[in-house]
Amino acid sequence: MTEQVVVTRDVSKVYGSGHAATTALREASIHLHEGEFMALLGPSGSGKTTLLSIVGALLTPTSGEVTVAGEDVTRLTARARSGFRARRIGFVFQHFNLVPFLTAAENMLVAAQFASVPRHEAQARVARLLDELGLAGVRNQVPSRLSGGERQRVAIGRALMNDPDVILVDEPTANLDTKLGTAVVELLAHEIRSRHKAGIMVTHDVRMVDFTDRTVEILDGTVRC
Amino acid sequence: MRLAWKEILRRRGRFLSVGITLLLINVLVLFLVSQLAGLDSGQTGAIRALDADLLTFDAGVDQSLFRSSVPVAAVQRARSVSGVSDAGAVGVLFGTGRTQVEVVPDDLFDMSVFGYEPGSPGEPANLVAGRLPRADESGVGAIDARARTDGVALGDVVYFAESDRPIEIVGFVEDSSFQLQPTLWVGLDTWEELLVAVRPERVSDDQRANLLAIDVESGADPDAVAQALDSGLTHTESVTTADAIAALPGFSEQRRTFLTIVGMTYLATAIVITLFFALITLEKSEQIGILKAIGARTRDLTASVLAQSLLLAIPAFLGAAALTLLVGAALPPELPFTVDTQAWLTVGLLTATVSVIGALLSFRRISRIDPANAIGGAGD
Repeated sequence: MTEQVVVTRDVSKVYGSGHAATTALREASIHLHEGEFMALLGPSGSGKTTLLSIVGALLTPTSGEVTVAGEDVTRLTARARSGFRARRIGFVFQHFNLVPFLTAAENMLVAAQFASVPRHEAQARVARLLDELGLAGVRNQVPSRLSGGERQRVAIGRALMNDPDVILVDEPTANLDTKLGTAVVELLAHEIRSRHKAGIMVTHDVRMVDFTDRTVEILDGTVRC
Repeated sequence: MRLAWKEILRRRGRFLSVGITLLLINVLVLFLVSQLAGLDSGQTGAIRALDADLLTFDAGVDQSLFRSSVPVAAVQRARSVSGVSDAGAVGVLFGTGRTQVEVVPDDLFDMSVFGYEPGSPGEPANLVAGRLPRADESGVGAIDARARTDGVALGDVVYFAESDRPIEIVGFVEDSSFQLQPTLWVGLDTWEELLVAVRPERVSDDQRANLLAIDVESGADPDAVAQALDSGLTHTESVTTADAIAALPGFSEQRRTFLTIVGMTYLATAIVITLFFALITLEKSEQIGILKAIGARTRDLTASVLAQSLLLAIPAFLGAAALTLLVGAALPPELPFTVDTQAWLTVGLLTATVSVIGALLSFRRISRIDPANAIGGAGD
């Protein structure tokens, strides 16, 4: 039996207070094992991004327990959360969100810098990842000179840079055509499984569900497995 | 730091524009402080060259070199005052100098004459060529090196005002001009000859000079010695050389004017830097959110902005210093311009400080960027 990497129990999130209070998430409980890739489906405003942000230590839940890689993230200070995200979580964002003035290699290196990885070790990891992701030829290109697929692969490389326990993916196909989108999710699924990571992907695109191991649907803040 | 440097390198255009603005502001400030130093130096050189700790004036004349009149006999009384190591009388005349006995308008240059007792306080420091007049000779003088630009050389003869008394130039004294004009340094006897010739109305029965130059004993408190002098002498006001310089007509006002301009320029610098970093922080809000999401701390990002402000300010200052030196070297000698290293270093320090403060103001904005915004939208 593989280890549970992500566990949420009865997690709720309420924005605002009093009459303006909005419940984004109601007692959401999910769990995810090492090497498992899960899709989080739901319409806009359903709470899937809130759940992803809570698992990623970007948001603190109003109530409930969240354990990621054995750590209770709800108890971490703001500073500790930064370090936790740098070392244990890999993010792949919707709009690639690469630093525009850094090259492909530097965009990956910057993640290692925030995790205080020694420079020579970080450079070795970058070289390896660039090779594995088929990006060696564009290592010195800035994002504006990369294709959409290359940018998303650099973003995946950045997410894998610090060998995190969890990869969180936010709408990875939103800005790509179907063919490229499929290739990117296929690559993500491969990387997550082959590297024994736990992956959660927020998506609207039901076709991408085929590449995941499990689907969790959220509707009005409530998880429906 | 690497992130900061890479951004400057790869976004040269925007950083160059603010860097050039900073450089030009620094050129303006360095030029202003050098002009101020030049003016200060040109106005006060003769007073500083007296190399005295205290100057004793006639009381009630607001330390005016012109109006002050003290008996030369007071020198002996001053020497007996506790805390005084030596004293000397100094006479001052203002007028024009010329190098020919005939008065030819084109040959005239403004000049002051300082008479002193050779070997006593009041004898000029900073001799750079030739020698100073000796106690046993008259009709010789050392002149401020600035007079070289008026064509005066060693061995030349100069005449003061309407006097036809020739004064042979035997030495040059550096940094000893007064009110931006060269000073002729002569023995007190020669000065009296000139006084009789050109200002007979100022000649009195007792031998008088304009002020006393006082050296204070090592370890003595100059203020206490000044008080003792004024108690021991009749109707005098003794002040430190620095106070006498500050009392020169227009000196303090001139400094205040220049320093106000410099202050306003720094205010402009602070606004430029603050706006620049506020704008680029605003523009990079999303990017900052992403970097925070992947583990960057507010401290890392603020340090990056601070590093950028210094990477702009330091080269801008160094470039401005080089440019100002070039401009200064090309200036005609009559324009006051003196490189005051301490003032320049202060300018560099102020530029760096203002830049850092300007950049630090973006800290609040950076700290308020929520990394959660990097993913989807709140409430989704």
